[in-house]
Formats: sequence, C-alpha cells, structure tokens
Amino acid sequence: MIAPGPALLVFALLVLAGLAVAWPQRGLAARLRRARRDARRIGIEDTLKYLYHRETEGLAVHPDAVAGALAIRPGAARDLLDRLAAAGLVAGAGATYALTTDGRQEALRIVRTHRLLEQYLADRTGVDPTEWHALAEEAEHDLTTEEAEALATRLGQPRFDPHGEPIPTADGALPVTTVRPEPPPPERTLADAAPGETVRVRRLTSACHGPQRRRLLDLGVVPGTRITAELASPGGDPVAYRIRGALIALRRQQAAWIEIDGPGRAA
Amino acid sequence: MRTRLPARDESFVQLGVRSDGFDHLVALAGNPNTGKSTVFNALTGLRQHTGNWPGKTVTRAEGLFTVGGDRCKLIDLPGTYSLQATSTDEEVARDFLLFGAPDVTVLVLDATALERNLNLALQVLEITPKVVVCLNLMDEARRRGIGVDPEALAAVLGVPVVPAAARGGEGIEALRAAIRAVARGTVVPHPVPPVPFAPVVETLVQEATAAVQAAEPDRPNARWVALRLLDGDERVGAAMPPALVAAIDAIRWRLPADFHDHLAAGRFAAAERLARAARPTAVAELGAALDRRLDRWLTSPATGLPLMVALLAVVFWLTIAGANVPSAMLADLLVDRGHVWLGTMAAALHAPDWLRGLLVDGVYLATAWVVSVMLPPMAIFFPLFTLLEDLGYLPRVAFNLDAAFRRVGAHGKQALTMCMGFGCNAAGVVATRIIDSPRERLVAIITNNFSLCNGRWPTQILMASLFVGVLAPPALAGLVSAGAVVGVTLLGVATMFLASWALTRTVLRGEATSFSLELPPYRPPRLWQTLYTSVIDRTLIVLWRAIVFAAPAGAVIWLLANVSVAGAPVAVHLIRLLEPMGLLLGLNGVILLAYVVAIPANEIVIPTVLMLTVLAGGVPEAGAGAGVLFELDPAAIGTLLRADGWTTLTGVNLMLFSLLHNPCSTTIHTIWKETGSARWTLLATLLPVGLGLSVCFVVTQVVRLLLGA
Repeated sequence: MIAPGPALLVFALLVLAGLAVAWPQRGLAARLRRARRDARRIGIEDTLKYLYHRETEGLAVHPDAVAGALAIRPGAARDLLDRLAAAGLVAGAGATYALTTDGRQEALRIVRTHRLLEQYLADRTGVDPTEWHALAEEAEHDLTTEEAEALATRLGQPRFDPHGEPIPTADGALPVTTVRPEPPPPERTLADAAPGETVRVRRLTSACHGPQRRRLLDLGVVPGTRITAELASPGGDPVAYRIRGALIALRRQQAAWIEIDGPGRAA
Repeated sequence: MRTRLPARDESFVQLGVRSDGFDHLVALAGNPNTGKSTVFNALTGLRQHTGNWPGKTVTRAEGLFTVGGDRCKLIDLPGTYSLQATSTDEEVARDFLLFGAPDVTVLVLDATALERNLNLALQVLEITPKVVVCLNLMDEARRRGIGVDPEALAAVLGVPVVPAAARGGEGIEALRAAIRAVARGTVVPHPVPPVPFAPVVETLVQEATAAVQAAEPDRPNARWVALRLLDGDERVGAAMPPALVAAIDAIRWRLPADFHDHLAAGRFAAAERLARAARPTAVAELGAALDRRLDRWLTSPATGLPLMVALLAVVFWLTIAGANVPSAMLADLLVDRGHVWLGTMAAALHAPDWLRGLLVDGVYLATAWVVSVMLPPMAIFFPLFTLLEDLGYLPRVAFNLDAAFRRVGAHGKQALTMCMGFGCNAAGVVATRIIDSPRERLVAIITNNFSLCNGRWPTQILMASLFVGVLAPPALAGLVSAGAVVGVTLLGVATMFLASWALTRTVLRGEATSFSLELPPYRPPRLWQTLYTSVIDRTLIVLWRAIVFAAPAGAVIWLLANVSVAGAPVAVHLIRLLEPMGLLLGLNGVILLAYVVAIPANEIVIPTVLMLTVLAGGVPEAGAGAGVLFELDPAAIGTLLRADGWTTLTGVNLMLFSLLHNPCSTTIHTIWKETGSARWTLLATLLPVGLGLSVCFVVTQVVRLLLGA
C-alpha cells in the first residue's frame, strides 16, 4: 500500500499545479494566451489610439509621451512612430507627431471596436463594470472588422458605450463628439425608503445597465411610478415592493439604482 | 413588410409548425404568471403542466381545438414582459408574432396587475391588430375587490375582451367564439392609436415615420417600422431600402441616449390611462389584507424561518415515512414475485438460459428495482411540493432565503430547485426553469447534484447503520446513524454553496444576470388537479426516463457477470483492474465498478455492490446467481461486506462518494437538454465526481496517517 504521507503530498502538489495553470487572469494558461498574441500589432494599434485621444484633447504628441502611455522604452516608441509614418498613418518627425487622415480612420476603427466591446460587456454579460475597460483593451486587438460589425449588429447598432462616449460609425464618422455629462449621484434611492412608505420614481441611475435595466423597465419602474415598500425579508434584504399592483422583491443593490423624490415631495 | 418575408408556409417550416390539418393559427401571448398555461389547457383540453410561478413556459407547447367546426392550432408562446427581443424568450415570442403570421393572437392579461400587462399588450398591438384579449384571473380580482370592466377595456383598447377565470373554466367558451369571430373577420378590431412618447422622442419618431411613409407608401405599420429602425433592428433593416435605413440612421444620432427609457415610460403612461379607464369600479383591495397578514407570518424573522423549516421537515418526513410501505409492497410484487413468475414463464417457453438471464435477470430485474425504490417517494414528494407551489408559498421560501444565496452569487429560487433535487435531481434540473436569470440558472443546474436525491438515501441509511451507528452504544445507535445521514445531507448543502460561490467567480463570471422575484398572490390550491398534474408531469416522466436508462444497464450488468474471458467473468477482471485505485480512495474495486455500471440509477448501487461482491469473492451461492441483483437484511449485508474487507472507513467513504459523484444518466441527459451545451453538461458531470474522488482520497490518507497504518 502507498504510504499516506507522500500520497497526500503528491496530491497537494497536483492540486497546486492545476491551480497555477488554470487560475483566471494570472494562471499559466492565461499568460501563455496573452504572450502568443502579436505584440507589435498591439503596440501599433495602441499608439494610434493614444494619438487619437491626444488629438481630441487638442494636444501635440511627443515620442516620450507615447513611451509613457504604452509603458515602453522611448527608443521603442520612436521606432513605432517611424514605422507608422512610413505606412502613411502618422505625419511628423522629431518632437511632434500627428495622425494623417488614414491614421485617424484606423484609430477610429480601433476606438469603435473598443467601445462596442465595452457596450457588449455591459449590455449582454454579467461582467463587473470595473473589468469592462481592461477586457475590452485586450479583446479589441483580436477582433477583425467583420467580427466587430457582427457584434454591432447583434447589439442593435449602439450609439454610445456604457460610459456615455459615442461609438464611431462603421465608416469612421463620429456624428456626436460631446460626452454626455454624468448626472449627479442620486440624493435618495428606493433603498432608503422606509417600510410601508410610498415613493415616486425619478429615474434609473446610469449604474443600472443591460439586462438589469431592461427588467426594471419591463416591470414598470419608469419616472413617475409610485412604489410602496411593503415587506422586508427576514434579513432585511431583499425587500418586496408593490409596483403597479404586483409584489416584486428587489435586492438592496437594485433598489439603490432607482432614484426617488426626496422626503416631503412624495405624496 | 410581409411581401419581403418568406411566404407563410415556408415560415412555418422554419418555425417548426406544421401547416396541415387546421383552419386558423392562433398564438397565445402574455406576461409570465398570468395563467397563460391554464388558458392553454382550458382551450385545448391538454394537460400541460402549470404552476403558480413566473416563467414556466420555456419550450413552446402546441395544441388543437375546434370551435364552430373550425379547427384552430394554438401555439403557446413564452411568457414575456416585453417584446424588445433581448432575451431568447422575447425573441421567440416576437419572431412568431412577426414572421409566423398568426391569424389571431390571444393576449392573456392578469386582471389584478393590469398596468404591467397592458405594457405588453401595447407592444403586441403595434405588431398586429388581430388580437383577442383574455382578461384572466377575474376570480382573483373579485376576491381582492378589484373591479375591472371588460367592456370599458374593450372600448379603449379597440379589440374584443373576454373576461375569464381559466382555472374554473369560466369564459373559455366565449374566448373560443371570439377567436373564431376575429379569425373569420366577422369582428374586425380597431386597436387603440399608437402611444405618443415624450416630445424629445416623439418629434423624431414622427420624422422617421414620415421618412418610412415617403419611401414605402403602401406600408400600413409605418410607425412600428420607424421605431424598429430607430432601435437598430437588423432584421427589419434588411427588409427596407438602404437609403431609408441610412436616413433613419441620421435621425438616430439626434435621439437622447436614454431612448429606451422614454419608450418604456411612454407605454406605461398609456397603460396607466387605459387601466384607469377600465377600472371604473375599483374599490379597496379586500383580499390583499389576508395576503398581507399571511406574508407577515410567513416572512418575518421570528415566525417565517421556523415555519418554513417545520413545513419542509413535514414534507420530507411524509415522503420518507410514507414511502416505506408502498416501496416494500412494490418490491414484493415486482422484484420477488414478478421475477420468479417471469423466470417460470421463460422456462415454460423453453427460452435458452442466456436469453432468460439477459432479459429476466438483467433487464427486467434492474428496471423493477428502480421502479419499486423510486416510484413511491416521488409519488408522495412531488404532489406535496406541487401543492405548496400552487398555493404561492414557494416564492416566499425563495424570498426568505435569498440573502444566503445572494452572497454566493445565486438566486433565492435555487433553494427550491435544491429541495426538488432531494426528490430527484433530474426534476430539480427541470425546475430551474423558474430562475429567469441566465447565470443564476446555470449555477442552480450545475450544483443540483449536491442535493442528495432519494435514490441515494437507501445507500446512506444502510451505510450509516452498518458502519457508523455500531460505533455508538446500542441505545444511541439509531440516533447516531440518523445523525450521520443528516450530516452528509448538510455537507451536500455546504458543498452546493461553496461550488456556487466558486463557479460565479470563475467560469460563470461573464454570464448575464438580472434578479427579480415576483411574489404572486396566494391562491386556493386545487387538490385533484395538483395530484393529477404532478403525477403525470413529474413523477411519470421522470420514472419513464429512468426506466429507459435502467433497462440497458440491467443488460450490461448481467453480461459483465456472465460473459467469461480467460476463465473469469469480465466483471471480475474489471474489479481487479479497479482495485488499486479503489484502495487508494478508501473504497474498493467492487464499489467503483458498481458506480460505473449503475450510472443510470443510484437505486441499484447497493444491489449491484452485493452481487459483485459475492461474484468476485467466489461464493456465488451466497447470492441469487451471477448477474442477479439481490438485497439481504442489513445484518446479513454487514456480515458479507465485513468478510470482504470493508471497514468503517470504507462505509464512510461510500457515504461521501454517494453524495459526491457524477449525476445519474437521466440527470446528465436532462442537463444537456436544458442547457443545450456540451460544456456545461461536462462541467456538471465532472465537478462532483472530481470533488468526490478528492474528498475520499484525502479522508482516507489522513485517517491512515493519523492511525499510523
């Protein structure tokens, strides 16, 4: 019979090895997948995007700034810019660089893919908002133009990403450039309603998106709706609310997405 | 648009509807939990399962009925709150209304929650004017003192409205007549004019509608097409001239970003006005007071949780205690007498020995075994559970327990699918349809197997009394072994929480999630109907699937024990092959082989273990013959197993492995059908068996380390 001590040790090592390989994001498998990607293309695309963002802010770009933004050596940044200039995507030399028309189109394509991906993550998945940007930043380099267009079709040609930034159109136009102002945080939400209190809905906050927002709209939670906090569960979360005649239990997190009129204004 | 869409018959084929043998095609639409399935059953006489639950109909049911000589085919669409087509259910419902071209659409509205139901009604009326409204749950509205005037509603909506209480059959004849009238064109609906939206949206919608009218002057539903195009609907866009799509695209950019919120707000404002017009006699809600009092009792911290535990305990006690007698009777009838009788019959017919063995000892006996162990508990458990469901109590259980499930990323309703799993995991997996959030439903499906199903209870009870109870003084033996079974069950619950937590943070992280839990009003239960539907829909279907899988397993078991290679039955070779691994896990080769061949049903694990033990031990005279399943009284089983080298550790490990191993093949098949995904089916199969192997291994090695063996 195998001695129990060594057997347990071997088992523990196997489990640890399995975790080291399969751990999400930081495991060996995830690292390998990242390393296999084309680092040079990613560098080029990231440079174009950076130049585009600086341009919209009205700033000229120094190679050292590119190096800082992409976390690469200044020499490598100069190489990248020279290669882009040779391809006709960037104009300029020495201290300042700017996008050419072609370069701007290419940059807009990458921005479009990035914002479509963020909108997809917000609208169709349960991925946490804090991860949207990082995931889109990675995946934008893997999508072909056709795949990005298929995604846009599936999402109903969205106009804005979840942060309210407009998504460039497929032919590289940006009909709206102004960023939507972020509304002030709600003074009072449904989560603050006292047991038995009837309140009036003002709006759904922007933190409520995708399937969650559609569900609340379907249930009739729209501006002006009157909601009564009727019944608390034993732990106080969820709470059952009377919404348009039906008794619907919502969790505290969801109730906090529903801005209501301040005290004294509700009837 | 119909001109550019596939012709009607062609679209039927695509949507899986046969176009033969009926005069009118009728679609049934409505919110979840409005009694839509009850209306379906009342119209067709079919007994489709219905429950007091939102979100029951996932796959589409079809039925036929005749009215005034006209044959109507009725299609039950998934219950949805809207037709935005962002979920599969909504897409199925919307596509059928659009492309299936039904002659009449029956809209089932809940008379007690008119505003929310009218929101869907307005969206349906935007697509098709040929609508008959079935104003259902009128009995409940009366009970709660909600006065809805069907004629006033018909006047403001512009379509026929039939008041009904489908549970009692009230209004069904009138509904059939109204369907026929609209189908034949003797009644032509003139639906309510389209909903006006807030000015910032409305001016742009009108601009887009004008553009559609200019480009396509013959189109009757220009406003609806304009709205779809403004929404970026690709299927509608593809049917329109590209110039029009481009023109509307320009208008889209001037719409406010919260366009959808405005649409919802506009529709609900209209729904509110319509509901007000239809409820001229609204009085104080009488019955609601009783509901509220019940809710206070059933959901307060002081009384809600104890009542819930007591109620569930009674259900389980009735199931276990009540199943003993009928189980013994069935075993006597099917296993003892039936087996002998069939054996005699085979002998009288001069059937060859191998054929008699394969069919009678193999196929028949395994099937009879599964039926006698499985049927009685399910026939008791499912009706009791269905009764609680019908009352409207189960959503309150989900409400009470949601906090615990929220912490692991799951839905409160998982408490119910888990309870259902204690009866049968396959039924538990089907029951996850009540969870309408994709991620939470997957969690519930994958972790359902951690509920100890009733096929595994006999193994647990036997092992606990043979190997755990005997460690205690005789007076306490019963208590200790009962404690051990409860301990394993609780371990299963703990594993379920742990696995849910881990799954929602790793592989299921990206699945979409949306929580809401409707607490429907309490409804008086219908005893006979409950009994009927739960026996037909749950018990018999599960039993049938189990038989389909158990019969071939019986044949395999018999063949393994009777086909000899190199002087020994195949089973003995396999046992020797598995023995080293079995010992490493603190089990043995017999147990591992039994679990491989008994994948179809946990019920036959113990009989298979016994049969294989005597076969491998070379004492077949102790059993009933090679390949013949048998059962002994517990004391004799104990003697037999100990003689084969079983220790307390073996017994405990078998209890653990019985809890943590792959789902039975019926459940695996059900998971595959419910998820439609090989990936999730594989995960649900391998996760528990991986855990079981690991746990048995660690327990065994730690015990050996501590005992210095």
